[in-house]
Amino acid sequence: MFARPLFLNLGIGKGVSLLGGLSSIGIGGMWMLFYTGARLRARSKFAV
Amino acid sequence: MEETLRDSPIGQLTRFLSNNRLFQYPEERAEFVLPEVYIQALDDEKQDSSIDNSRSHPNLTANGHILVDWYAPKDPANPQNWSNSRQNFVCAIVCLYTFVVYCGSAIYIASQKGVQEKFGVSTENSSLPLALYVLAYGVGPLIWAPLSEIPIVGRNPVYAVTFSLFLLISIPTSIVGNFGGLLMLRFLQGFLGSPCLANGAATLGDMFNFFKLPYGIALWTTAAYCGPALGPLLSGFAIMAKGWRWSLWEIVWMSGPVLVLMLLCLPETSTPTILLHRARRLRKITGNDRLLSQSEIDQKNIKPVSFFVNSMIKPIEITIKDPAIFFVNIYTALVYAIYYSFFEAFPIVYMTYYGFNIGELGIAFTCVIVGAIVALAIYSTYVRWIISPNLKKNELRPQEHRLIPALVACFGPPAGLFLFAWTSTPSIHWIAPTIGIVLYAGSVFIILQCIFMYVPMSYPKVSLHFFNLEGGMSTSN
Repeated sequence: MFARPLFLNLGIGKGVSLLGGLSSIGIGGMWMLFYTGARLRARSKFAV
Repeated sequence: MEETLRDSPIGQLTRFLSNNRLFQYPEERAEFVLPEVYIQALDDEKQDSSIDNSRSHPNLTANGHILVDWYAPKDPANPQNWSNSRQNFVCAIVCLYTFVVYCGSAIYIASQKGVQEKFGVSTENSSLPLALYVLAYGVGPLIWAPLSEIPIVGRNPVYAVTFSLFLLISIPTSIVGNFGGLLMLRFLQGFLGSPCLANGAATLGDMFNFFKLPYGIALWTTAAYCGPALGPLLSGFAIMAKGWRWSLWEIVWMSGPVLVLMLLCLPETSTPTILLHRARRLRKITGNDRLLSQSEIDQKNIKPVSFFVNSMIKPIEITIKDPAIFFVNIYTALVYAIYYSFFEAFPIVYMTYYGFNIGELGIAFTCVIVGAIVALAIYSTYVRWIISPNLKKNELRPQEHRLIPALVACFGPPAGLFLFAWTSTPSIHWIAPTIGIVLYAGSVFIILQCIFMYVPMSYPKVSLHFFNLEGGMSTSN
Protein backbone atom coordinates (compact mmCIF):
# COMPACT_ATOMS: atom_id res chain seq x y z
CA MET A 1 0.00 0.00 0.00
CA PHE A 2 2.77 2.43 0.80
CA ALA A 3 5.08 0.97 -1.74
CA ARG A 4 3.38 2.42 -4.77
CA PRO A 5 3.56 6.08 -3.70
CA LEU A 6 7.13 5.42 -2.60
CA PHE A 7 8.19 4.17 -5.99
CA LEU A 8 6.20 6.69 -7.96
CA ASN A 9 7.70 9.62 -6.10
CA LEU A 10 11.25 8.48 -5.60
CA GLY A 11 11.66 6.20 -8.54
CA ILE A 12 12.87 2.64 -8.26
CA GLY A 13 16.53 3.48 -7.77
CA LYS A 14 16.16 5.78 -4.82
CA GLY A 15 13.11 4.01 -3.41
CA VAL A 16 14.73 0.63 -3.14
CA SER A 17 17.92 2.23 -1.88
CA LEU A 18 15.91 3.75 0.93
CA LEU A 19 14.67 0.30 1.83
CA GLY A 20 18.19 -1.02 1.53
CA GLY A 21 19.46 1.65 3.85
CA LEU A 22 16.84 0.76 6.42
CA SER A 23 17.81 -2.85 6.30
CA SER A 24 21.43 -1.87 6.86
CA ILE A 25 20.41 -0.88 10.33
CA GLY A 26 19.65 -4.54 10.73
CA ILE A 27 23.31 -5.38 10.23
CA GLY A 28 24.34 -3.32 13.19
CA GLY A 29 21.44 -4.58 15.22
CA MET A 30 22.20 -8.23 14.54
CA TRP A 31 25.82 -7.94 15.59
CA MET A 32 24.83 -6.05 18.70
CA LEU A 33 22.27 -8.70 19.52
CA PHE A 34 24.92 -11.36 19.22
CA TYR A 35 27.29 -9.64 21.61
CA THR A 36 24.86 -8.22 24.14
CA GLY A 37 22.23 -10.93 23.94
CA ALA A 38 23.28 -12.74 27.06
CA ARG A 39 23.20 -9.58 29.11
CA LEU A 40 19.83 -8.59 27.72
CA ARG A 41 18.38 -11.94 28.58
CA ALA A 42 19.69 -11.71 32.12
CA ARG A 43 17.91 -8.40 32.56
CA SER A 44 14.70 -9.46 30.91
CA LYS A 45 11.63 -10.64 32.79
CA PHE A 46 10.57 -13.03 30.07
CA ALA A 47 13.73 -14.93 29.34
CA VAL A 48 14.70 -18.35 30.54
CA MET B 1 -3.71 -46.21 8.03
CA GLU B 2 -6.71 -46.64 10.25
CA GLU B 3 -4.91 -44.66 12.90
CA THR B 4 -4.35 -41.80 10.50
CA LEU B 5 -8.00 -41.72 9.60
CA ARG B 6 -9.06 -42.00 13.21
CA ASP B 7 -7.01 -39.00 14.33
CA SER B 8 -8.06 -36.79 11.46
CA PRO B 9 -10.94 -34.31 11.71
CA ILE B 10 -13.21 -36.59 9.66
CA GLY B 11 -12.31 -39.53 11.85
CA GLN B 12 -13.09 -37.61 15.00
CA LEU B 13 -16.39 -36.46 13.55
CA THR B 14 -17.25 -40.06 12.65
CA ARG B 15 -16.46 -41.15 16.16
CA PHE B 16 -18.68 -38.45 17.52
CA LEU B 17 -21.56 -39.33 15.24
CA SER B 18 -21.27 -43.07 15.80
CA ASN B 19 -21.00 -42.64 19.55
CA ASN B 20 -17.44 -43.95 19.59
CA ARG B 21 -18.31 -47.24 17.97
CA LEU B 22 -16.28 -46.65 14.80
CA PHE B 23 -12.53 -45.85 14.85
CA GLN B 24 -11.84 -46.94 18.38
CA TYR B 25 -8.80 -46.06 20.43
CA PRO B 26 -6.83 -48.77 22.23
CA GLU B 27 -8.47 -47.80 25.50
CA GLU B 28 -11.90 -48.51 24.15
CA ARG B 29 -11.19 -51.99 22.94
CA ALA B 30 -12.06 -54.95 25.09
CA GLU B 31 -8.50 -56.21 25.46
CA PHE B 32 -7.15 -52.97 26.90
CA VAL B 33 -5.31 -53.27 30.21
CA LEU B 34 -4.68 -50.20 32.34
CA PRO B 35 -0.99 -49.64 32.99
CA GLU B 36 0.33 -50.75 36.36
CA VAL B 37 0.66 -47.25 37.71
CA TYR B 38 -3.00 -46.45 37.26
CA ILE B 39 -4.21 -49.72 38.74
CA GLN B 40 -2.13 -49.11 41.83
CA ALA B 41 -3.30 -45.53 42.12
CA LEU B 42 -6.94 -46.55 41.78
CA ASP B 43 -6.52 -49.24 44.39
CA ASP B 44 -5.28 -46.69 46.84
CA GLU B 45 -8.83 -45.50 47.23
CA LYS B 46 -9.47 -48.46 49.41
CA GLN B 47 -6.43 -47.81 51.54
CA ASP B 48 -5.74 -45.30 54.24
CA SER B 49 -5.76 -41.80 52.76
CA SER B 50 -3.08 -40.50 55.08
CA ILE B 51 -0.36 -42.22 53.06
CA ASP B 52 1.84 -39.69 51.30
CA ASN B 53 0.60 -40.57 47.84
CA SER B 54 2.63 -38.17 45.75
CA ARG B 55 5.88 -39.76 46.79
CA SER B 56 5.23 -43.40 46.19
CA HIS B 57 3.05 -43.00 43.13
CA PRO B 58 4.35 -40.25 40.85
CA ASN B 59 1.02 -40.07 39.11
CA LEU B 60 -0.85 -38.72 42.07
CA THR B 61 -1.27 -35.04 42.77
CA ALA B 62 -1.63 -33.52 46.20
CA ASN B 63 -5.41 -33.53 45.90
CA GLY B 64 -5.55 -37.25 45.31
CA HIS B 65 -6.23 -36.84 41.60
CA ILE B 66 -4.57 -39.35 39.32
CA LEU B 67 -2.61 -37.68 36.57
CA VAL B 68 -3.21 -39.07 33.10
CA ASP B 69 0.02 -38.96 31.16
CA TRP B 70 1.91 -40.90 28.52
CA TYR B 71 1.89 -44.58 29.29
CA ALA B 72 5.64 -44.90 28.79
CA PRO B 73 8.52 -42.71 27.61
CA LYS B 74 8.15 -44.33 24.20
CA ASP B 75 4.36 -44.12 24.05
CA PRO B 76 3.51 -44.05 20.33
CA ALA B 77 0.64 -41.68 20.96
CA ASN B 78 3.12 -38.95 21.86
CA PRO B 79 3.69 -36.82 18.75
CA GLN B 80 7.38 -36.67 19.57
CA ASN B 81 7.50 -40.45 19.29
CA TRP B 82 5.69 -40.80 16.01
CA SER B 83 7.53 -42.55 13.21
CA ASN B 84 9.62 -40.40 10.90
CA SER B 85 7.28 -41.00 8.00
CA ARG B 86 4.26 -39.92 10.00
CA GLN B 87 5.96 -36.77 11.23
CA ASN B 88 7.18 -35.92 7.74
CA PHE B 89 3.73 -36.51 6.34
CA VAL B 90 2.13 -34.12 8.82
CA CYS B 91 4.87 -31.60 8.11
CA ALA B 92 4.12 -31.92 4.42
CA ILE B 93 0.41 -31.28 4.98
CA VAL B 94 1.15 -28.19 7.06
CA CYS B 95 3.58 -26.93 4.42
CA LEU B 96 1.05 -27.47 1.61
CA TYR B 97 -1.63 -25.72 3.60
CA THR B 98 0.70 -22.79 4.30
CA PHE B 99 1.68 -22.65 0.66
CA VAL B 100 -1.93 -22.43 -0.51
CA VAL B 101 -2.86 -19.68 1.91
CA TYR B 102 0.22 -17.60 1.20
CA CYS B 103 -0.22 -18.15 -2.51
CA GLY B 104 -3.72 -16.77 -2.20
CA SER B 105 -2.31 -13.41 -1.24
CA ALA B 106 -0.04 -12.71 -4.19
CA ILE B 107 -1.99 -14.63 -6.79
CA TYR B 108 -4.22 -11.57 -7.01
CA ILE B 109 -1.45 -9.28 -8.27
CA ALA B 110 -1.93 -10.16 -11.89
CA SER B 111 -5.64 -9.32 -11.68
CA GLN B 112 -5.13 -5.75 -10.61
CA LYS B 113 -5.54 -4.32 -14.07
CA GLY B 114 -8.65 -6.35 -14.69
CA VAL B 115 -10.17 -5.17 -11.43
CA GLN B 116 -9.39 -1.57 -12.29
CA GLU B 117 -11.21 -1.88 -15.58
CA LYS B 118 -14.16 -3.85 -14.26
CA PHE B 119 -14.93 -1.79 -11.16
CA GLY B 120 -13.49 1.52 -12.26
CA VAL B 121 -11.19 1.98 -9.28
CA SER B 122 -7.82 3.68 -9.17
CA THR B 123 -4.53 1.84 -9.25
CA GLU B 124 -3.90 2.37 -5.55
CA ASN B 125 -7.30 1.02 -4.64
CA SER B 126 -6.93 -2.02 -6.81
CA SER B 127 -4.11 -3.20 -4.56
CA LEU B 128 -6.45 -3.19 -1.57
CA PRO B 129 -7.62 -6.79 -1.99
CA LEU B 130 -4.01 -7.85 -1.56
CA ALA B 131 -3.39 -5.51 1.35
CA LEU B 132 -6.57 -6.54 3.17
CA TYR B 133 -5.82 -10.24 2.76
CA VAL B 134 -2.37 -9.75 4.24
CA LEU B 135 -3.74 -7.53 7.01
CA ALA B 136 -6.30 -10.17 7.89
CA TYR B 137 -3.79 -12.95 8.10
CA GLY B 138 -1.70 -10.79 10.34
CA VAL B 139 -4.63 -10.13 12.64
CA GLY B 140 -6.10 -13.63 12.59
CA PRO B 141 -3.41 -15.27 14.74
CA LEU B 142 -4.43 -13.10 17.68
CA ILE B 143 -7.59 -15.20 17.87
CA TRP B 144 -6.55 -18.54 16.42
CA ALA B 145 -3.30 -19.03 18.25
CA PRO B 146 -4.69 -18.71 21.80
CA LEU B 147 -7.72 -20.72 20.71
CA SER B 148 -5.65 -23.68 19.63
CA GLU B 149 -3.62 -23.52 22.82
CA ILE B 150 -6.76 -24.19 24.85
CA PRO B 151 -6.59 -27.95 25.44
CA ILE B 152 -10.31 -28.53 25.02
CA VAL B 153 -10.09 -27.11 21.52
CA GLY B 154 -6.69 -28.25 20.33
CA ARG B 155 -5.23 -27.69 16.88
CA ASN B 156 -7.43 -29.78 14.58
CA PRO B 157 -10.79 -28.06 15.08
CA VAL B 158 -9.16 -24.71 14.35
CA TYR B 159 -7.48 -25.97 11.18
CA ALA B 160 -10.45 -27.95 9.91
CA VAL B 161 -13.15 -25.36 10.49
CA THR B 162 -11.21 -22.35 9.29
CA PHE B 163 -9.87 -23.98 6.18
CA SER B 164 -13.28 -25.35 5.23
CA LEU B 165 -14.72 -21.87 5.61
CA PHE B 166 -11.77 -20.53 3.63
CA LEU B 167 -12.75 -22.74 0.70
CA LEU B 168 -16.39 -21.78 1.04
CA ILE B 169 -15.58 -18.06 1.13
CA SER B 170 -13.27 -18.34 -1.86
CA ILE B 171 -16.15 -19.26 -4.10
CA PRO B 172 -18.17 -16.05 -3.70
CA THR B 173 -14.88 -14.14 -3.84
CA SER B 174 -14.46 -15.34 -7.39
CA ILE B 175 -17.97 -14.37 -8.42
CA VAL B 176 -18.62 -11.16 -6.52
CA GLY B 177 -19.95 -8.26 -8.53
CA ASN B 178 -18.88 -5.16 -6.62
CA PHE B 179 -15.62 -3.87 -5.30
CA GLY B 180 -16.72 -3.48 -1.69
CA GLY B 181 -17.81 -7.07 -1.61
CA LEU B 182 -14.50 -8.17 -3.05
CA LEU B 183 -12.63 -6.27 -0.34
CA MET B 184 -14.68 -7.76 2.46
CA LEU B 185 -14.44 -11.28 1.13
CA ARG B 186 -10.69 -10.99 0.67
CA PHE B 187 -10.36 -9.83 4.25
CA LEU B 188 -12.39 -12.82 5.42
CA GLN B 189 -10.32 -15.13 3.27
CA GLY B 190 -7.13 -13.92 4.87
CA PHE B 191 -8.63 -14.13 8.33
CA LEU B 192 -9.79 -17.69 7.82
CA GLY B 193 -6.52 -18.74 6.27
CA SER B 194 -4.36 -17.39 9.06
CA PRO B 195 -4.12 -20.49 11.31
CA CYS B 196 -1.41 -21.78 9.02
CA LEU B 197 0.74 -18.90 10.13
CA ALA B 198 -0.48 -18.87 13.71
CA ASN B 199 -0.32 -22.56 14.48
CA GLY B 200 1.92 -24.07 11.81
CA ALA B 201 5.08 -23.52 13.82
CA ALA B 202 3.33 -24.78 16.94
CA THR B 203 2.28 -28.00 15.19
CA LEU B 204 5.83 -28.57 14.02
CA GLY B 205 7.12 -27.84 17.50
CA ASP B 206 4.69 -30.39 18.96
CA MET B 207 6.17 -33.11 16.82
CA PHE B 208 9.81 -32.43 16.23
CA ASN B 209 12.39 -32.61 18.96
CA PHE B 210 15.16 -30.08 19.45
CA PHE B 211 17.44 -31.51 16.78
CA LYS B 212 14.86 -32.09 14.08
CA LEU B 213 12.99 -28.85 14.55
CA PRO B 214 15.32 -26.56 12.54
CA TYR B 215 14.68 -28.64 9.41
CA GLY B 216 10.94 -28.62 9.94
CA ILE B 217 10.78 -24.88 10.47
CA ALA B 218 13.07 -24.29 7.49
CA LEU B 219 10.81 -26.34 5.23
CA TRP B 220 7.73 -24.59 6.51
CA THR B 221 9.32 -21.20 5.91
CA THR B 222 10.21 -22.27 2.39
CA ALA B 223 6.56 -23.08 1.77
CA ALA B 224 5.64 -19.66 3.10
CA TYR B 225 8.20 -18.06 0.79
CA CYS B 226 7.16 -19.99 -2.28
CA GLY B 227 3.54 -19.01 -1.81
CA PRO B 228 3.72 -15.33 -2.69
CA ALA B 229 6.53 -16.02 -5.15
CA LEU B 230 4.62 -18.55 -7.22
CA GLY B 231 1.28 -16.76 -6.97
CA PRO B 232 1.75 -14.29 -9.82
CA LEU B 233 3.16 -17.02 -12.04
CA LEU B 234 0.22 -19.32 -11.38
CA SER B 235 -2.28 -16.69 -12.37
CA GLY B 236 -0.32 -14.55 -14.83
CA PHE B 237 -0.66 -16.53 -18.02
CA ALA B 238 -4.13 -17.73 -17.07
CA ILE B 239 -5.34 -14.17 -16.63
CA MET B 240 -3.91 -13.18 -19.98
CA ALA B 241 -5.90 -15.95 -21.58
CA LYS B 242 -9.07 -16.11 -19.54
CA GLY B 243 -9.70 -12.91 -17.61
CA TRP B 244 -8.97 -11.45 -14.23
CA ARG B 245 -11.31 -13.62 -12.16
CA TRP B 246 -9.22 -16.66 -12.93
CA SER B 247 -6.70 -15.92 -10.18
CA LEU B 248 -9.40 -16.12 -7.54
CA TRP B 249 -10.76 -19.33 -8.98
CA GLU B 250 -7.31 -20.84 -8.75
CA ILE B 251 -7.42 -20.29 -5.01
CA VAL B 252 -10.54 -22.43 -4.90
CA TRP B 253 -8.90 -25.19 -6.93
CA MET B 254 -5.75 -25.21 -4.86
CA SER B 255 -7.50 -25.29 -1.53
CA GLY B 256 -9.92 -28.06 -2.50
CA PRO B 257 -7.50 -31.00 -2.59
CA VAL B 258 -5.50 -29.65 0.33
CA LEU B 259 -8.68 -29.42 2.38
CA VAL B 260 -9.56 -33.01 1.55
CA LEU B 261 -6.06 -34.11 2.49
CA MET B 262 -6.25 -32.17 5.72
CA LEU B 263 -9.65 -33.46 6.72
CA LEU B 264 -8.70 -37.05 6.07
CA CYS B 265 -5.13 -37.20 7.26
CA LEU B 266 -4.12 -34.50 9.73
CA PRO B 267 -3.85 -35.81 13.30
CA GLU B 268 -4.11 -33.81 16.46
CA THR B 269 -0.64 -32.82 17.59
CA SER B 270 -1.19 -30.76 20.69
CA THR B 271 -0.02 -32.74 23.72
CA PRO B 272 -2.44 -31.28 26.28
CA THR B 273 -5.37 -32.01 23.96
CA ILE B 274 -4.32 -35.60 23.29
CA LEU B 275 -3.95 -36.26 27.00
CA LEU B 276 -7.26 -34.58 27.75
CA HIS B 277 -9.06 -36.88 25.33
CA ARG B 278 -7.25 -39.84 26.80
CA ALA B 279 -8.32 -38.83 30.30
CA ARG B 280 -11.92 -38.68 29.13
CA ARG B 281 -11.72 -42.15 27.65
CA LEU B 282 -10.11 -43.55 30.80
CA ARG B 283 -12.74 -41.95 32.98
CA LYS B 284 -15.39 -43.55 30.84
CA ILE B 285 -13.85 -47.00 31.06
CA THR B 286 -13.02 -47.01 34.75
CA GLY B 287 -15.89 -44.85 35.87
CA ASN B 288 -13.45 -43.12 38.19
CA ASP B 289 -13.53 -39.32 38.31
CA ARG B 290 -10.14 -38.94 39.90
CA LEU B 291 -8.38 -39.49 36.56
CA LEU B 292 -7.51 -36.05 35.22
CA SER B 293 -5.07 -34.75 32.67
CA GLN B 294 -2.71 -31.95 33.62
CA SER B 295 -4.65 -29.41 31.64
CA GLU B 296 -7.89 -30.27 33.41
CA ILE B 297 -6.18 -29.75 36.74
CA ASP B 298 -4.75 -26.41 35.64
CA GLN B 299 -7.92 -25.39 33.97
CA LYS B 300 -9.76 -24.72 37.16
CA ASN B 301 -7.62 -21.65 37.54
CA ILE B 302 -7.85 -20.17 34.07
CA LYS B 303 -10.64 -17.93 32.89
CA PRO B 304 -11.17 -17.90 29.11
CA VAL B 305 -11.71 -14.18 28.74
CA SER B 306 -8.61 -13.13 30.61
CA PHE B 307 -6.68 -15.73 28.63
CA PHE B 308 -7.65 -14.10 25.34
CA VAL B 309 -7.13 -10.57 26.54
CA ASN B 310 -3.76 -11.57 27.85
CA SER B 311 -2.85 -13.03 24.48
CA MET B 312 -3.62 -9.79 22.78
CA ILE B 313 -1.76 -7.53 25.14
CA LYS B 314 1.24 -9.76 25.73
CA PRO B 315 2.82 -9.36 22.29
CA ILE B 316 2.86 -5.60 22.65
CA GLU B 317 4.06 -5.85 26.20
CA ILE B 318 7.02 -8.04 25.39
CA THR B 319 7.99 -5.86 22.47
CA ILE B 320 8.04 -2.74 24.56
CA LYS B 321 9.73 -4.22 27.56
CA ASP B 322 12.46 -6.22 25.94
CA PRO B 323 14.97 -4.65 23.55
CA ALA B 324 16.00 -7.88 21.90
CA ILE B 325 12.44 -8.78 20.97
CA PHE B 326 11.79 -5.19 19.95
CA PHE B 327 14.68 -5.23 17.54
CA VAL B 328 13.83 -8.62 16.15
CA ASN B 329 10.21 -7.67 15.59
CA ILE B 330 11.04 -4.39 13.89
CA TYR B 331 13.60 -6.05 11.68
CA THR B 332 11.24 -8.87 10.72
CA ALA B 333 8.49 -6.41 9.99
CA LEU B 334 10.80 -4.36 7.83
CA VAL B 335 11.97 -7.39 5.91
CA TYR B 336 8.43 -8.57 5.22
CA ALA B 337 7.35 -5.08 4.23
CA ILE B 338 10.19 -4.90 1.73
CA TYR B 339 9.27 -8.32 0.43
CA TYR B 340 5.71 -7.24 -0.24
CA SER B 341 6.87 -3.98 -1.77
CA PHE B 342 8.42 -6.10 -4.50
CA PHE B 343 4.92 -6.68 -5.77
CA GLU B 344 4.72 -3.01 -6.56
CA ALA B 345 8.28 -2.60 -7.76
CA PHE B 346 8.45 -5.59 -10.04
CA PRO B 347 5.71 -4.48 -12.43
CA ILE B 348 7.43 -1.14 -12.83
CA VAL B 349 10.86 -2.62 -13.34
CA TYR B 350 10.05 -5.66 -15.41
CA MET B 351 7.04 -4.59 -17.37
CA THR B 352 7.82 -0.94 -18.00
CA TYR B 353 11.60 -1.02 -18.27
CA TYR B 354 12.18 -4.49 -19.67
CA GLY B 355 8.92 -5.05 -21.51
CA PHE B 356 7.80 -8.30 -19.89
CA ASN B 357 4.14 -9.21 -20.15
CA ILE B 358 2.06 -10.28 -17.13
CA GLY B 359 2.92 -13.95 -17.54
CA GLU B 360 6.63 -13.29 -17.82
CA LEU B 361 6.41 -11.03 -14.80
CA GLY B 362 5.16 -14.05 -12.89
CA ILE B 363 8.25 -15.92 -13.98
CA ALA B 364 10.44 -13.12 -12.70
CA PHE B 365 8.94 -13.60 -9.24
CA THR B 366 10.27 -17.13 -9.08
CA CYS B 367 13.73 -15.71 -8.41
CA VAL B 368 12.65 -15.53 -4.79
CA ILE B 369 12.19 -19.28 -4.77
CA VAL B 370 15.67 -19.74 -6.20
CA GLY B 371 17.04 -17.65 -3.36
CA ALA B 372 15.02 -19.59 -0.81
CA ILE B 373 16.13 -23.00 -2.08
CA VAL B 374 19.79 -22.03 -2.15
CA ALA B 375 19.46 -20.64 1.36
CA LEU B 376 17.60 -23.75 2.51
CA ALA B 377 20.43 -25.89 1.21
CA ILE B 378 23.09 -23.76 2.87
CA TYR B 379 21.24 -23.56 6.17
CA SER B 380 20.36 -27.25 6.31
CA THR B 381 23.94 -28.16 5.58
CA TYR B 382 25.08 -25.85 8.31
CA VAL B 383 22.65 -27.37 10.82
CA ARG B 384 23.44 -30.92 9.80
CA TRP B 385 27.20 -30.79 9.62
CA ILE B 386 28.20 -27.99 11.95
CA ILE B 387 25.63 -27.13 14.59
CA SER B 388 24.09 -30.48 15.47
CA PRO B 389 27.35 -32.39 15.96
CA ASN B 390 28.63 -29.40 17.93
CA LEU B 391 25.64 -29.46 20.25
CA LYS B 392 25.76 -33.18 20.68
CA LYS B 393 29.41 -33.12 21.58
CA ASN B 394 29.48 -30.12 23.91
CA GLU B 395 26.90 -28.84 26.28
CA LEU B 396 24.17 -26.56 25.03
CA ARG B 397 25.82 -23.39 23.93
CA PRO B 398 24.34 -20.01 24.77
CA GLN B 399 21.42 -19.13 22.55
CA GLU B 400 23.35 -16.44 20.74
CA HIS B 401 25.28 -19.25 19.13
CA ARG B 402 22.30 -19.88 16.91
CA LEU B 403 22.57 -16.39 15.49
CA ILE B 404 25.92 -16.98 13.83
CA PRO B 405 24.59 -17.61 10.30
CA ALA B 406 22.56 -14.44 10.64
CA LEU B 407 25.71 -12.44 11.34
CA VAL B 408 26.95 -13.30 7.90
CA ALA B 409 23.58 -13.22 6.19
CA CYS B 410 22.55 -9.83 7.51
CA PHE B 411 24.79 -8.17 4.91
CA GLY B 412 22.72 -9.81 2.21
CA PRO B 413 19.52 -7.72 2.27
CA PRO B 414 21.18 -4.32 1.87
CA ALA B 415 23.55 -5.69 -0.74
CA GLY B 416 20.77 -7.31 -2.70
CA LEU B 417 18.54 -4.28 -2.49
CA PHE B 418 21.21 -1.85 -3.62
CA LEU B 419 22.06 -4.17 -6.47
CA PHE B 420 18.42 -4.26 -7.50
CA ALA B 421 18.01 -0.52 -7.13
CA TRP B 422 20.93 0.53 -9.27
CA THR B 423 20.84 -2.09 -12.01
CA SER B 424 17.14 -1.91 -12.79
CA THR B 425 17.51 0.32 -15.83
CA PRO B 426 16.76 -0.69 -19.39
CA SER B 427 20.41 -0.45 -20.34
CA ILE B 428 21.47 -3.27 -18.02
CA HIS B 429 20.33 -6.83 -18.69
CA TRP B 430 17.38 -7.91 -16.55
CA ILE B 431 19.30 -10.69 -14.83
CA ALA B 432 21.21 -8.14 -12.75
CA PRO B 433 18.34 -6.87 -10.58
CA THR B 434 17.04 -10.42 -10.43
CA ILE B 435 20.30 -11.59 -8.88
CA GLY B 436 19.92 -8.82 -6.34
CA ILE B 437 16.54 -10.19 -5.36
CA VAL B 438 17.87 -13.73 -5.14
CA LEU B 439 20.54 -12.49 -2.77
CA TYR B 440 17.95 -10.61 -0.74
CA ALA B 441 15.55 -13.53 -0.48
CA GLY B 442 18.21 -16.05 0.43
CA SER B 443 19.78 -13.86 3.10
CA VAL B 444 16.44 -13.02 4.63
CA PHE B 445 15.60 -16.72 4.75
CA ILE B 446 18.71 -17.51 6.77
CA ILE B 447 18.19 -14.55 9.08
CA LEU B 448 14.59 -15.57 9.74
CA GLN B 449 15.61 -19.15 10.50
CA CYS B 450 18.13 -17.97 13.03
CA ILE B 451 15.62 -15.68 14.66
CA PHE B 452 12.97 -18.41 14.73
CA MET B 453 15.35 -20.65 16.63
CA TYR B 454 16.78 -17.94 18.88
CA VAL B 455 13.58 -16.40 20.19
CA PRO B 456 11.71 -19.54 21.29
CA MET B 457 14.86 -20.84 22.91
CA SER B 458 15.51 -17.66 24.82
CA TYR B 459 11.96 -16.67 25.65
CA PRO B 460 9.96 -19.87 25.70
CA LYS B 461 6.98 -18.55 27.59
CA VAL B 462 6.36 -15.73 25.18
CA SER B 463 7.38 -17.39 21.95
CA LEU B 464 3.75 -17.93 21.04
CA HIS B 465 3.12 -14.22 21.33
CA PHE B 466 6.26 -13.47 19.40
CA PHE B 467 5.07 -15.46 16.40
CA ASN B 468 1.71 -13.73 16.54
CA LEU B 469 3.29 -10.34 16.59
CA GLU B 470 5.70 -11.18 13.86
CA GLY B 471 2.80 -12.26 11.69
CA GLY B 472 0.93 -9.12 12.57
CA MET B 473 3.78 -6.86 11.71
CA SER B 474 4.23 -8.45 8.33
CA THR B 475 1.08 -6.63 7.34
CA SER B 476 2.69 -3.27 7.83
CA ASN B 477 3.06 -2.86 4.13
